[in-house]
Amino acid sequence: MTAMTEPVHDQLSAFIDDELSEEESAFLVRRLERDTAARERLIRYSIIGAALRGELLQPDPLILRRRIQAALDGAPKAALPAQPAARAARLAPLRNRRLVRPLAGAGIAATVAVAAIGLLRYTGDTGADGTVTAPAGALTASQWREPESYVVPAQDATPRERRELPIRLTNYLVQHGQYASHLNRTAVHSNVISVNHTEMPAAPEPVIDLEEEPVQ
Amino acid sequence: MGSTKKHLADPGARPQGGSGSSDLALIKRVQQGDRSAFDLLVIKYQHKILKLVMRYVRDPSEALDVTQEAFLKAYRAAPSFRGDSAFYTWLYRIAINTAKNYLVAAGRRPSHFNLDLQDPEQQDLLSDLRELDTPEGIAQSDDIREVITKAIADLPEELRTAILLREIEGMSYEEIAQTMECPVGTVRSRIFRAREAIDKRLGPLLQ
Repeated sequence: MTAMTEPVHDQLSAFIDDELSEEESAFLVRRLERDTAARERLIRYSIIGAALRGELLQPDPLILRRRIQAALDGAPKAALPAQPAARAARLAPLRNRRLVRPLAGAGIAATVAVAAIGLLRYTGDTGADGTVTAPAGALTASQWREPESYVVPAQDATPRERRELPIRLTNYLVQHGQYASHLNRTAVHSNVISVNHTEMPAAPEPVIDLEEEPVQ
Repeated sequence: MGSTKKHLADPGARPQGGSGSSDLALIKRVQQGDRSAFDLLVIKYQHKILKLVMRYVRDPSEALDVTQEAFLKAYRAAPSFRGDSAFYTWLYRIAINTAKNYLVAAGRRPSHFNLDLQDPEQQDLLSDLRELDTPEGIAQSDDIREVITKAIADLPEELRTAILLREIEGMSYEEIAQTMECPVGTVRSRIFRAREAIDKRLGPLLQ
C-alpha cells in the first residue's frame, strides 16, 4: 500500500460505515466510477462485514449483486443462475399484478354495464316457478311495429276527431304543464295558443274526455 | 442522533452508522442515471436486505428472488426518493412491502418472525442458500468465513473491539468512541486498520 492510496482506503472504510461528510462522499463516489481497484476493495469490506454479522450469502457472496446487475442490463433470465420453473411461476403473479389489476377492473366494469343495459331494456317479472316472464301487455318481437305518429291527422280524421284532438292536446299540455317549470309551461302554452288560436276557448276549459289519469 | 431516534419504532429500519451522506451521495448519482452508483448501494445493503426478507419469505431461493425484486423496485423508484428519510429506511420499507405482496400473491399470509442469528436453527436460514450453488462455491464460502474468523482472532485487542462494535453492534463512530473512551478519529483509524488486516488475507481468496 502506498502513501497515496492509504487515505483513499481509509475513506472507503469510513464511506461504507456512512461516516464521511457529504463533500467527501460525493468526491469518493465520483472516484469509484473509474477506480476499479477501489471498487473491489469496497466489495471486500462489505463481505467482511456480512461475514462478521453472519449475513454472508452462501455459497456466492455476490450472487444477488450479479443477478441485479443482469436484470438491470435486461439480460435474459436464462443467463442467470439456474432458477426452478416452479419458483419462477410463483413469482409471476407478483410481477403481473400491476397488469392484471386494471384489466380485471375494466372487465368487471364492462360486465356491470352490460347487465345494467339489459336490465333497463327488459324489465321482466319472475314467476312463481322462478322463470322470468314479460310483463302483461308487453309486445313480443313479432308483435312489434312502428309506433303511431303523434301528428294530428288532417285528412283521415272525422269531423268530431278534428274538433276533439286540439282540445285533448291542450288538456294534455295543461295537465302536464303544471309540473313543468314556469318558464317551460309558458313557452308550451304560447306555442299551442299561437298554432290553434282559432279553436282554443277563451278561458281555460275544464279538463274533458281524458283517457289518462292526470299525474298526481 | 436525531436520525436514530426517528427510527426507534422499528430497530430493523435504523440505518447503521452515521450521517447518511454516503447513501445520499450515491442516490443523487443514481438519480442522475449513474447505474454504478446503484451497484454500490446493492453491494452495501444486499446482505442486510436479504436477511430482512428472509424474516418473511423463508424459502432461500424465493427470498433471493424477492430481494432482487425489491432492489429493482428501488432502482425504478429512485427518481422519487426525496431524502425525507434515510435511504436504508426507504429501501427497508420497499423490501418489506415486496415480501408481503409476494406472500399475498402466492396465497400465503404474511407473517413476521424475528431472525436471531445467535439461534443455530435460524442461522441455517442463510446457510440454506448453499443449495443454490456448486460444491466449489460452498467450499469457497466456508473458506471466506474461516479466513475472516482467524484474521479477527489475530487482531490486536483495540482493533478487534472497534470493528466488532461497528459491524456486529452497528454502533456509530461516535458511540464507539464513547464506549472505548478515545477520539472519533482514533476509532475511524482502528476500524480501517482492522479491515486492512482482514482484507490482506481475504484478497487472495477472492481473486
